[in-house]
Amino acid sequence: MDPGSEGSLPQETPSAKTGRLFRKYVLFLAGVVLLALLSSATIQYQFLVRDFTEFSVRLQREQAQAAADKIDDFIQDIERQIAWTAQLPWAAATLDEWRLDVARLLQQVPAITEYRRLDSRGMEQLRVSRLAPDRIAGGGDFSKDDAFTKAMASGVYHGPVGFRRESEPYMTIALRGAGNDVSIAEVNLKFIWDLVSQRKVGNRGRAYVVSDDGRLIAHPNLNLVLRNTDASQLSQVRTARADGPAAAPEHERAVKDLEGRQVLAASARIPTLDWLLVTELPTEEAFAPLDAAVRRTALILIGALLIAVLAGFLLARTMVGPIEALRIGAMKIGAGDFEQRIEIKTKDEVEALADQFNLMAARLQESHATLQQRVERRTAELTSANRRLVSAGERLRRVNAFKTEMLGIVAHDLKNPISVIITRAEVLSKIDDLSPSAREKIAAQADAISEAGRQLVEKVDELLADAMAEANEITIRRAPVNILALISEVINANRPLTEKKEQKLAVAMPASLTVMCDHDRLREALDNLVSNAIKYTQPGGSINLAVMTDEDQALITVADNGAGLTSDDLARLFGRFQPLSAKPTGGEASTGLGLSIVKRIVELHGGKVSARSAGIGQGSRFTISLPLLAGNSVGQQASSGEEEGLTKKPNSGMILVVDDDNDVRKALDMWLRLDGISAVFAASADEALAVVAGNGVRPSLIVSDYNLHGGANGIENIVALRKALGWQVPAILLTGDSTRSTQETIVSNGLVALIKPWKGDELTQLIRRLQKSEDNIAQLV
Amino acid sequence: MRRRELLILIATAACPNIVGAQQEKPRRRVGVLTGNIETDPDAQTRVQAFKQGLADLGWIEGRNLHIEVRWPGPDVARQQAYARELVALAPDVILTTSTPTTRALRDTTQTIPVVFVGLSDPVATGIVSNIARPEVNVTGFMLYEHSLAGKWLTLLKDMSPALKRVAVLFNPQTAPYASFYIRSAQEVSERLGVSVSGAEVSSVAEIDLALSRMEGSDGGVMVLPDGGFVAANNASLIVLAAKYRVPAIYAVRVYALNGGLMSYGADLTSQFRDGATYVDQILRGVKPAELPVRFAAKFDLVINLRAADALGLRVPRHLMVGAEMVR
Repeated sequence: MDPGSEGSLPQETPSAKTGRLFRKYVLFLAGVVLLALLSSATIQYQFLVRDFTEFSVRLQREQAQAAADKIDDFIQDIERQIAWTAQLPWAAATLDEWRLDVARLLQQVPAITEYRRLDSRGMEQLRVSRLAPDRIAGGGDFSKDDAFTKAMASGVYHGPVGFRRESEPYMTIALRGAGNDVSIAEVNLKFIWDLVSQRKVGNRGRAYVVSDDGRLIAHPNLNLVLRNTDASQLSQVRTARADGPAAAPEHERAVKDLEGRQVLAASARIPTLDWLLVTELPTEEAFAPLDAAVRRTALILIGALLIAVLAGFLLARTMVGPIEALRIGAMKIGAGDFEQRIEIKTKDEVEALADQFNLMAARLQESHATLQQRVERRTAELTSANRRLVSAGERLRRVNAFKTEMLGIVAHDLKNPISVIITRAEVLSKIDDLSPSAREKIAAQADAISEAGRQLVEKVDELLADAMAEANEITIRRAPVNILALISEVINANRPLTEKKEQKLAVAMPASLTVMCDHDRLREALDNLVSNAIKYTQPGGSINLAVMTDEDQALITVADNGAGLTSDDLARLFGRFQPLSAKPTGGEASTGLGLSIVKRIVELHGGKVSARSAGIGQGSRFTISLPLLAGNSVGQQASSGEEEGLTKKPNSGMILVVDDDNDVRKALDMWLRLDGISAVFAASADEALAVVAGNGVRPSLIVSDYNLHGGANGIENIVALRKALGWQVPAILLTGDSTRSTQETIVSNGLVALIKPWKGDELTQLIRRLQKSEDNIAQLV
Repeated sequence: MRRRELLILIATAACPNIVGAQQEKPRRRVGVLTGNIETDPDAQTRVQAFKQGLADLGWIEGRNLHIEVRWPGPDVARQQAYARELVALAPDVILTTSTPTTRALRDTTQTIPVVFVGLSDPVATGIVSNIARPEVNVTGFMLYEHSLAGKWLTLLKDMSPALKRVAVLFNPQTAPYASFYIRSAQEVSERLGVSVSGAEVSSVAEIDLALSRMEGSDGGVMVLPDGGFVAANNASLIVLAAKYRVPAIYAVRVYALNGGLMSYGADLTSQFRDGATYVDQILRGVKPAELPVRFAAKFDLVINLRAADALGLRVPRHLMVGAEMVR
């Protein structure tokens, strides 16, 4: 299980989530306002439509009534005038008087085009026309005429509307006079046409007249009239007729006109003629002001919506802002920024929550600071201890190297003269041209010399053996090493020598190469090869270094064009104290140990070293090959006791940490979690044993403090735990004690020590390494 | 980002009102082709009445209307030239005031609507084929019907009971319909005991000659309406009628007002206002073929009492009742 995965999830989505909250607020507010406004606008629109229809129709009805009244007046006036003329019986006056009366009538009533007087038998007595010559007596018999018969029957007659010369509307009005004679007038209805066509009903509305039989009598579109259009099927006409003369025409609503357009219609009766005057206004026009109102409302709606969105925006920001601030603050604290404080001044629950967060952050900061202090202090201690150790080690190494060198030189230089002495002593004892007594005496002396010499050789060999032992005692400590940097170091160290001998030193290497190896040891080996090359190459010669990789190994070659090697040299080259046939070209000293040390170091790294030469004076080439795989640890390390029991596998990747300091435990917890290492913690040796024995936890690694509470010792603790677990669990000892004796104890128990103050990533790296190789490397870190 | 979108929304919501601002419509154009000369004050008055009629209907000259008037006078060739000139201007509608000018236009364009006023029987003269549905680009108002000739004759007889012979004066070029009137007059002449004859005149000299022949108490003349010729010479005509003491009846009231004995006819000036209503309808998109040819409905009798006195005539009472008396 990866504890980091839990914490990482909520960090990716919060901004999207707050965005959602924000949108919700804005949408909700805008939605509510929009709904309220829309419903109010809709209701208002319904009422407006009703009111507008009512208003428009009422207005139209008044107009229709006025027009109808005018037409009625027009007809009644004509009838009155005719009636006045008809009062005088035909026989009662002379022709001249009659012509005068009729002239007066025509003068009074311009609409009358023609006047005729029929006697009671239907015979025409007089005709006066505006267009034709007057006719007196002799017009003929009109007794069968509708005008005559109906006027005689009912007193008054209104003829159908006809068209004189195809385009002039005419109507015959006949009246029975006092002497049972009949006055007939041809009335031009142009007046009605003009009245109707000039009647303004809105902008595009119009008025028209329909006769009692449903025919169109007057209409602004004269063609419809002239075509004798039947308007009786129009619903506004039908309902107006059906309502009867008494009923108020309440049929108005949206109907179709003669051309099929939607109109609002109203009508009024012309009682004298039983005609109907209809007015129509296109619905579109009637509702035009309403459309403007709708547009205004829409604008208001948009405006209100914008305000609502704005309000929602502000409100949401007020509400979401603090939450967002809280989230960011918590995130920063979570990321380790313990100085982070959340500034929220909303005086509500959110502010209280923020205060709680701040309190928590303060606590965290405090404990973190304590931890930091300790780590810093201990790091400083470690650094100085390390520095001391390094310089001491360096001094030791130098002294030791000097001693070894001295020993070698002394032994080497002593052995030759001694063997000369021994040989000479033997030669001395074999001189035969002496007297036997003298020979005996000399032989005794010579034997003594030989004996002493042999004893001396033995002593020298002992000394050499000691130097050998020293040279053999090489250990390595692996770490990722940048080979290129290392070679640069070697070259820089040898540069003064090559310059002195005016030799060329060239290097060929790849851009980068990292190898798991012991930096110092490998440098020593390379230094040996390079200084050898310098030694055995003539001044002005050249030395070439090359670094290559070959599948799984790194190849480092040091080649020169110097003295070269004989085949005899090649065979014993890497043996101890094997001076070569060639001599150093600059008179340098040589122990004969260098190449054997090189061989030993390389082999400890799991690599090989080889040499090639074409012969004396042909130069030589040394090649070191090192395995590249980081996890490969072919090199045999100092000691480990793991063969004793690797039978019982740990039951989890969990590690057990034993430390009596609460803060240290907390800090370790934090570090291990960060690196995804799960751990069980125990505050004491007893608790640790209880964890292992009671809870059945089988850790893959143990980390223990050296000094445990109650005088317990970390080493003893680990040993006890290993015993309880039944196998050599890899273990790391945390200790501030860097004294030699403690270190020796640690190493002898097959443990790895981490000296306080340690760094977190050193620990985790060590843990990972141990878990991976399951090796215990007895090393001081 | 959100905020910027919001602003754009506000901006676009406010915009349509600005974009939808109304554009002013271009002016409409109306041509007028009279049969008169420009110096004729009566003709000027009638054209003014036409303009007033349009103004009453919302067509204001100089604001939404441009009116182009041409005054070719009675010369047919000039009328045709002016007709072409007007058509070249491509007006929305042209008003004509005489049969020859209407003909000239009808021969020039089949597309530009023509509205005529003051014409005599346009079917008989071949200007339109159908009164109710003209079915061409020409329609309008007619002022006189041929039957009026009979009416004129009875009126002249009523005025001058001694009347025995009547000459009908007309210019054959400007009054191509004369024969119809003469025939109509002849239909009632027998009943009235009067002989009717036509007299073609195309100059003052010929007028002089025609009137001199009617000298005497039994003589009289009827002057036919025409599109400009007689009007151009009316001063001489009235003077000559007085000189030869010939009772004369005219179709247009202006003669009686200027010293002629009497006139009977429809009000020409008011028909110019009627013409404005048709022009208005055509400007509003109605096709001329859908507008029936209309007739005058109101006729006026005008009697010049000074002229009657000079001729020693007594106005009968029944004429007095309906007539406009002038001195």
